[in-house]
Amino acid sequence: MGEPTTGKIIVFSVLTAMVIGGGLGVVFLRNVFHALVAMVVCFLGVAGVYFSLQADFLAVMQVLIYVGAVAVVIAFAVMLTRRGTMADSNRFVASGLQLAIGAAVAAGVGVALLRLICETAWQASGKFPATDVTRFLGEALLTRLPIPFEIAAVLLLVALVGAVMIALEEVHKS
Amino acid sequence: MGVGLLLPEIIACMGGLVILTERLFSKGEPERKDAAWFGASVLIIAGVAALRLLGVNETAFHGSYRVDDLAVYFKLVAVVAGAVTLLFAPDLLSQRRVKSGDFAALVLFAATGMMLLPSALDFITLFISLELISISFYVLIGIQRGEVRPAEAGLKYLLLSGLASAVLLYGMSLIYGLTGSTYLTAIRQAFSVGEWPLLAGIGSLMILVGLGLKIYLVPFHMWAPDVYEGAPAPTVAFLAAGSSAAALAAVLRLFGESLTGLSGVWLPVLLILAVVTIALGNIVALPQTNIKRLLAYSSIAHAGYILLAIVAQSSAGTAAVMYYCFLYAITTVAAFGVISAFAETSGGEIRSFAGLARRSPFLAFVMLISLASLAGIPPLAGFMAKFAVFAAAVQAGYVVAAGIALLLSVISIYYYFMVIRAMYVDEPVETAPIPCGWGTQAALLIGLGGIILLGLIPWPLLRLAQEAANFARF
Repeated sequence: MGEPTTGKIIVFSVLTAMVIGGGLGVVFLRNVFHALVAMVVCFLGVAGVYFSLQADFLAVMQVLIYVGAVAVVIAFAVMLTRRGTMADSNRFVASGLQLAIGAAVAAGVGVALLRLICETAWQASGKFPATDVTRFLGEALLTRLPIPFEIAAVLLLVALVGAVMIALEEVHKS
Repeated sequence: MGVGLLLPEIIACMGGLVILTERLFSKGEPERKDAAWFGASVLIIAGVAALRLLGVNETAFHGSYRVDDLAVYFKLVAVVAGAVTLLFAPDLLSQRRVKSGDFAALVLFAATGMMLLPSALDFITLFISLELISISFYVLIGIQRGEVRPAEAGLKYLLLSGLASAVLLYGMSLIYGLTGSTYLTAIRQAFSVGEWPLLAGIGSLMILVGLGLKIYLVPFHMWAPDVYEGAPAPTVAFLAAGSSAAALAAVLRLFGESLTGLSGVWLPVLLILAVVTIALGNIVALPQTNIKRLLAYSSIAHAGYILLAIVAQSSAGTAAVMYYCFLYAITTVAAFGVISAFAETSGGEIRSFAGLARRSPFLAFVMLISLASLAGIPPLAGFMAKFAVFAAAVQAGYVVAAGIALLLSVISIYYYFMVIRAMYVDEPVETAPIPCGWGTQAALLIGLGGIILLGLIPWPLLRLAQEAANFARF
């Protein structure tokens, strides 16, 4: 812990800019493919935040699964289902009043939460950060949390098979 | 006992895997119904395995999983809802060219989640069980390919449910940050003594919002009418009967046992929202012309009654919630069984029910009994359930709220009887009798028997609920 150094502040600022900028890009870009690229930037920023919090395993997983697998699958889905021109493919961009209301609510909740989070005395663990997080995670998953571990497998199977159930027939037809 | 505690879930999950594997080797013609029968029998076996766990009361896996009578009771609700749905589902699905194997496998996986959720004693197990239910339903709602309505309903549920999950996780992470634990028992201890920061209250409200979508809490109910109208009737039956009961079990664990220390924040909010939910459900149901939209608003109203019993914060209230969930599950499944057999082909408009009593006396009678039970007419099961809820609310001192709920439930009789009048009084537009497969007939007979028997002899189930509720405090 300790006082943040200039280096830490710079890293944190860059990562935050990536996360927030990427998120805004997903919402506002009119081309769905550009939005996807913005999402990858956002995911990479989140992975960087994990790294800076010493959650190495989570950061690696974030890059492998979200930047690697999820983004690529979405790219495939976009290319396979493309209709019309790509430049105007993300048509559900909020406008005018919706945007104003949404921004006001989000800003209000954000400011309120931020204030409360700054005021609150958080539980700080006295232990040193673990050096081999992966080992501890693996042990926890197989001793204390075997049920979520197994259910996650079933859940991924259902997601995969379910996506095929919904999409496959149409591929056959076309 | 270890793994033995998980036997019902393992059986249901294995059943789903067997069906999926069988689908690899068969073409899965939509006319075939055996996968659904197989799924129903697997669920019944899982139910027997769950019954054997009654009275076990054990905590396993370092306190993250608990099998007590409350959990077993909700496992049985999931089993009954799933098995009866699988009995009547294939008759409609084969008409819609949906493979019953796909449907049955997803129902079994969702039922696995519904059986795990009431036992979950830590945030991680709880969240992932809830997600297993949600993901199965995203597919079950949109399973009818090539049509706009189901796809729209599926997408709507996906987006709103995803948003609710995000809020739920935010709330959980706040609570975790403040207590340093994901275990419900540790969280209960952390908030039971001394001062807690305001952020903990906000966290509990976020958890309430996240689960609120699943239990039809107004104002997070928006998805219900569209999903009910767009999704095939068997999906809606299982969604209304099983998913909300499982989520209510999680609400009981979280708000009845774990977050009681924070009740100063969430209890007033829940009380107001419960009354608003009852009012909105009953009043907006009045002008509906589509039977599925009508039942969606009726679901919302019933969710409000159940929440009133949760607000009571007593073991009588918990018992009332449990009894209500079982009764509501069996009644809804019966009503949607009739809709599945008849109204899905005629667009679901209430006026198409005209003269149903002459075209199919059996379907009309089942619908009559289920609607009368939903309206709370004695001696049907719905009356006992409402009585238990109102009694619990009055005992806890919420006389005004109980009075408002009672008044609004009288209004509800009007819209239920609109449908009954159409069936029994109005002249039929068509006169052709309605074919009804034996699976549907069996499902409807089970529903009918359940509603009448539970109304005439409520004590065994009510006593089971009361004992479970007394024991549930950990």
